[in-house]
Amino acid sequence: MSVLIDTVREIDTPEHLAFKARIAGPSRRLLAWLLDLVIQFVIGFALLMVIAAVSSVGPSGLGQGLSLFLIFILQWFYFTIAETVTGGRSLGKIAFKLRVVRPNGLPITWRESILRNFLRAADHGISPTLLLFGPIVMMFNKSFQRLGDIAAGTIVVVEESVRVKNTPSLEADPELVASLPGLLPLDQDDLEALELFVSRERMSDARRDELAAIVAPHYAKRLSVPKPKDPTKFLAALWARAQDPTRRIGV
Amino acid sequence: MSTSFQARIVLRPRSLDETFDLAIRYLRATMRDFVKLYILFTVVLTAIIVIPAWLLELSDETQIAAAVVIVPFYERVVTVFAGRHLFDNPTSIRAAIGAVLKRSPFLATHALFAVAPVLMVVLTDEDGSLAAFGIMLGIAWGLFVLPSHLHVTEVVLLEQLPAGRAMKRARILLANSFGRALGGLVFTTVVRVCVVAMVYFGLNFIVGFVLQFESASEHLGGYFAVLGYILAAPYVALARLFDYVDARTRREGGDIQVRFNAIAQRYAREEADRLAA
Repeated sequence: MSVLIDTVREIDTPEHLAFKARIAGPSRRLLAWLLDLVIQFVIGFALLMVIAAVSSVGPSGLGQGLSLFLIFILQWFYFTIAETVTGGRSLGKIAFKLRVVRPNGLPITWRESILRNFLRAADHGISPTLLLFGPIVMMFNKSFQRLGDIAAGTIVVVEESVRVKNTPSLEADPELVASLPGLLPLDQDDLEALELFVSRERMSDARRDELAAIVAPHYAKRLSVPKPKDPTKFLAALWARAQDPTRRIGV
Repeated sequence: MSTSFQARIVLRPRSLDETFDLAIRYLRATMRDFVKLYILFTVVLTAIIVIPAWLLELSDETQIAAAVVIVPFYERVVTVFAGRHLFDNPTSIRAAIGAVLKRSPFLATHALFAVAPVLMVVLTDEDGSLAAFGIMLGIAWGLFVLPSHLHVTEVVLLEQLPAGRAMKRARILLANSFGRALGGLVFTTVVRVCVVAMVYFGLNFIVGFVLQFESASEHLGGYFAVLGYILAAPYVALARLFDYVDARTRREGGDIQVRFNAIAQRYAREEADRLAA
């Protein structure tokens, strides 16, 4: 089978450090954009009120000129300024944990920000008939880039914090843990799979047993212990044993 | 015929928006395998809805109501086809249509219940009382019935359970996930509305403004809306399928099963090699 389809992309930094990041797709980016529109509206409304108050004592036409200038600045520079100041995040993007980065993971500069945001007009369309032009381009791009992203060479990634869970869903039997040998023949794949198994919530006991029965006999054989009667408890004990700071893991 | 459980996607619990992004990625990556299905159904359904409407001079609202009733059949065919394709099992358009027809009484009843509020709004009478009732029914459906049964059609078609057990299983799959299910329902509805609006305005713009057939564009509005509704169907079906796969991954540990199977196979191979040596 060919490469599995996913929304995660590997990013190679200039230091040759590779890490995986989730590319943000249209759904989350659309929500962030809508929030930014609301924020732009609120800022614009507040400033227009100030301008209205100031222009009432100033020369005629000042208020109209200032209002047009303000709308122009908000429309064309809100995203550029916000993204450059915050390292690739407008307020909407901050709320939805998004960040614009270069393909090598480095933060964007003024140049990229100006380019990608000035092309918003093309992505949003200059008339309602082409309103969804940006999302259509994103759909056909493997990194979910809109026209502005393609031109500026940027991608938008999701900054999700990994929740570290200290307590597994399965309690290990201390006696069973103590009965396991000191040297565990487990590699990284084994540990990751066991961690997924013991930390998964909302799974029925029958299903847990069914899954545990796939690997428990193999582990028992490698540890030279009798075939476990309760495979789920055995895997929970194996995982708990692997968490012991004095453990020795090797293959 | 053996059944494969090796998915073409990376199986892991995902957030709702990631699930929908994955559906877009899948739609794009597998376009070549699905293109015949998409073209066939777009042409056939458009003909089924538009030709009678043209001959009988039916209103735009009636055409849209017909699309709302008929298009779920297309979505279910995509569900079956993609459900088998996703796990690399052999499939065909004919087999997918056959599977849907086999469960058509249940699916038709479910579809009619699900779209009843939309039909009431579209086919409302002069004073709009039917629309008001439809909106109230839609809110009640959307809040109390549809979210908990969101994946009942996927369960019926892909797990081939009888109706009663399928309803129960669909509820179990989405137990304690009301917010997510409601979010999924709202998102797919918004996608449909957006695609219909985009196709409607886009084609009106092209026909009326670019090609300068203003009179034609005035008469074709209903057809454009129907086409938009049909074009949105594959994505909506895939998004729901991936949400169903995600619910199963969370509840049944599909990702863990894939990893455990790989580990078991590796150990069995190592053991065989050791014995051979």
